[in-house]
Amino acid sequence: MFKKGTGEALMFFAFIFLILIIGSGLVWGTSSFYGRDYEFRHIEAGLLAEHTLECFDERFFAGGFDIYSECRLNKEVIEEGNYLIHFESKKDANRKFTLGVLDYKNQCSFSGARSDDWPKCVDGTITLGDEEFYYVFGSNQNKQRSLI
Amino acid sequence: MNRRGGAGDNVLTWNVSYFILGIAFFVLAFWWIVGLQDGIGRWEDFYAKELAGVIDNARAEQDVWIDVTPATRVGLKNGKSLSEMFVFDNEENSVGVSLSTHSSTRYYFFTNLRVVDVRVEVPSGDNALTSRLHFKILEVE
Repeated sequence: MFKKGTGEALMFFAFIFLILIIGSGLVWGTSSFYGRDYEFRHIEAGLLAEHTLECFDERFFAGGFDIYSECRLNKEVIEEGNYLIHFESKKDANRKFTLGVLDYKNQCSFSGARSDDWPKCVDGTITLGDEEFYYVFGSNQNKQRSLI
Repeated sequence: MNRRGGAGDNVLTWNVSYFILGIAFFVLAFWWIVGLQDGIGRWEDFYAKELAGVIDNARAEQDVWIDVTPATRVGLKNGKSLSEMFVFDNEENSVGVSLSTHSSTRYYFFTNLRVVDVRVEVPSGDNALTSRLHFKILEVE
């Protein structure tokens, strides 16, 4: 036989279940409205392009070239793994310069359904002497939110 | 056999428990929504990224003034002092924005520049109806 009070104990789980359903709905609803990050990656990729193109010259393809000191880039930040700087000659496939995550080039050129986790890029061409170079700059830096 | 008094006590205990849990849930939900309405996370995110962008776009020896009124209004309301809201870390190349006593948002700038002379000016007085952030950009030595 069931003891009196067993029904109340079972109702507790139903109550918690209801609270969880309402709570998740509340969190999902408010987060979808307020929670989206401010999208800055495409602007950052543009700034990186502008900054690097100013110092782009023949030295990029010479041995021992230090882009960090020549173009005033911060080594630790660039090497965090959230950026791509890529140049390649249209005439000679061996004349390439790549710094960062080369796969960003593929992720940015993919024209199918895109994920928000993929980087944002800017691309174009630049002429050096009589040679034309294709460039891609990418950024996938996300904010770091921490509790104090 | 169950005693009548015992069963009644049990029902009362459960009802009181449900009531307390319900109130706790309501308070938590209210706190969550009010917190979001302040837009602390949104403004921290916005200013951290925009300030990093300003630095990435700046030249050495440049003085920068930026209107930060929405941020300071939220920060002051949440108990933050003006001097603690915007923190530039020249070692890590990062901008930190904190508009509440329990959270902070950080974003990195990629140029080799350093930021000095950081201060928030409040021309309209303590009410922060208008406020602007000043900093100076210098070359890394």
